[in-house]
Amino acid sequence: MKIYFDYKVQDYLADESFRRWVLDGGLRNQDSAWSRWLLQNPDYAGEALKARDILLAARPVEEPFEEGYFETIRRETLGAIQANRRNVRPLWWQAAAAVLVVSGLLGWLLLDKTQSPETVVVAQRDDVVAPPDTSAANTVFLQKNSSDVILPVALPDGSSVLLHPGSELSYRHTTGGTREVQLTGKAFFEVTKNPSSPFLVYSGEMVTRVLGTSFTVTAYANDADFSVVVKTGQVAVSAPKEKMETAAADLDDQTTIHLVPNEQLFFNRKKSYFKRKEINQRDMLRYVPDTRNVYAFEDKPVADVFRQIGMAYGLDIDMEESLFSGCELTTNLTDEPLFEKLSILCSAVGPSTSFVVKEGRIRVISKGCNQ
Amino acid sequence: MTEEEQLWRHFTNGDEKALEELIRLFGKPLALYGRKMVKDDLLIQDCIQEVYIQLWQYRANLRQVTEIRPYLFTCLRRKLITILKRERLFVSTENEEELPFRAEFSIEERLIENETEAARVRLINGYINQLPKRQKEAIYLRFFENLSNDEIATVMGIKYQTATNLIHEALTSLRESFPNKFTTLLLACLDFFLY
Repeated sequence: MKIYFDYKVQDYLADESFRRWVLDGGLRNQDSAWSRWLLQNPDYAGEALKARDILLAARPVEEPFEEGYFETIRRETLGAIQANRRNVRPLWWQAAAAVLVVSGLLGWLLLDKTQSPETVVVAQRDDVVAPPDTSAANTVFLQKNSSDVILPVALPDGSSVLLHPGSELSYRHTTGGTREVQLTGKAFFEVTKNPSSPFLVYSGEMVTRVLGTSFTVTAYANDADFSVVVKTGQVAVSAPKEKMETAAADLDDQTTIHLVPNEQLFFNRKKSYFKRKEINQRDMLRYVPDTRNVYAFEDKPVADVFRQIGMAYGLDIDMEESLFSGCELTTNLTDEPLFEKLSILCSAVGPSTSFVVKEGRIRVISKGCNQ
Repeated sequence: MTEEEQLWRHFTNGDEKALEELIRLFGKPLALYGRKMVKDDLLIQDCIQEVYIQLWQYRANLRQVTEIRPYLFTCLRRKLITILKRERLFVSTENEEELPFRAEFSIEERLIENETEAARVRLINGYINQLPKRQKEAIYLRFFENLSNDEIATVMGIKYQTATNLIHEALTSLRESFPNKFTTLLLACLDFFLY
């Protein structure tokens, strides 16, 4: 212990055993090595006690992290490296799509390219928001909108998409736990929250990554600029370079932009250049549905509620209105995806009530209120 | 070869278990460090993931390191600076010197023995919280993350001498807060007991 005779404040502070001694109670533990040494060498205790005072005055204040925070880091990192291992992502999509069109291997796939788009959603809320079935990993879901109206699309994970005319998307849930969409054209996404399963939208050279949020990606094949507008939550947009630098020092040379609501991001594809600008409410509504008036309903006729939701999203909702006469609804909605909103409303109306999405239209099916 | 060196070697050889271990060991220190610079846990989460993912991608080209912690800290710090810089392009005009460091220190109340000590520690606490942010960062890395002056210089991207100076200056100003105030307080206490 001779060395301690030369110890100054900073030496004590840098000594892990000393710090542990202080934080374990210091002189209160009279039998500990540090206590004994200091009691035997009181002349040298001055510096040690100053160091102790500093430690007592410097407890880092740390808020706890959100539950599952580090587990997410682990899952997403491992998921990403496992996805990279295939290392053929863009090609993979084309290959997978080709296989599907040729052989139609997957029986559950509701869409045949030659038919009009059709998706069925069951109204039981649990069915819609259930975590992605792992057995469905790597299966692909395709949807194309060749009509001239917006097409509502329910993804297998419960997320809602409004697919604009002339747009096409495919979806898969990877073994790595990520949800991946390949998009050409324009679509508004409302992603079900699932922190352990990031949602990625690939469009050309651009990747938009979210956890649970709503946003619009515009990325038609012939566009010079792509655009992303966020309605709620936060998204990360990047344009991964083909060329990987080799030095760790260049780690930061990656283009990732974090985007929040009321911002619009433009991506110039030629120059691989991002430009961010603020967007006002009016312009915003050119990209995302205006749902400001559909959050709270009080004693509102059921038919009106459905109509209002439809209007907010720019969709027609078909129903037998006479079934709902004299039937009112009081409910609060938040920014859950469209199909989740509809599920909640259907459940509130009664057990016989559900909805389907058929030929690009939403239809509410019911035997009446509370039935 | 130390355990850490071995872990790093396994990692650079492409062992996914080693990657998991690195995440388990250093995820939290990285997140805590990141928070000092950015008040956005999700962004920090993203950055940490990217650091790990990119190190994994470049693993074949990484040199053998003996201390992993400072290496990862360096990567994270650079990543955050890049992001803040890019924000600057679009939003504000902050320059790199203005990279925040928001460590906040409180008092270990449970270990305070009496009112005299409490007064003294409160005083020091006030001084620590008012240290210039680069001094604060150096102190944080030195005494709470166990980095050497050398490693601090690497992480903060400064010269060894500068790092040493930052720590020295911080401690000097804390030290200077001692004798006079110390004496004054002692006198005050004595007064209290005498009268």
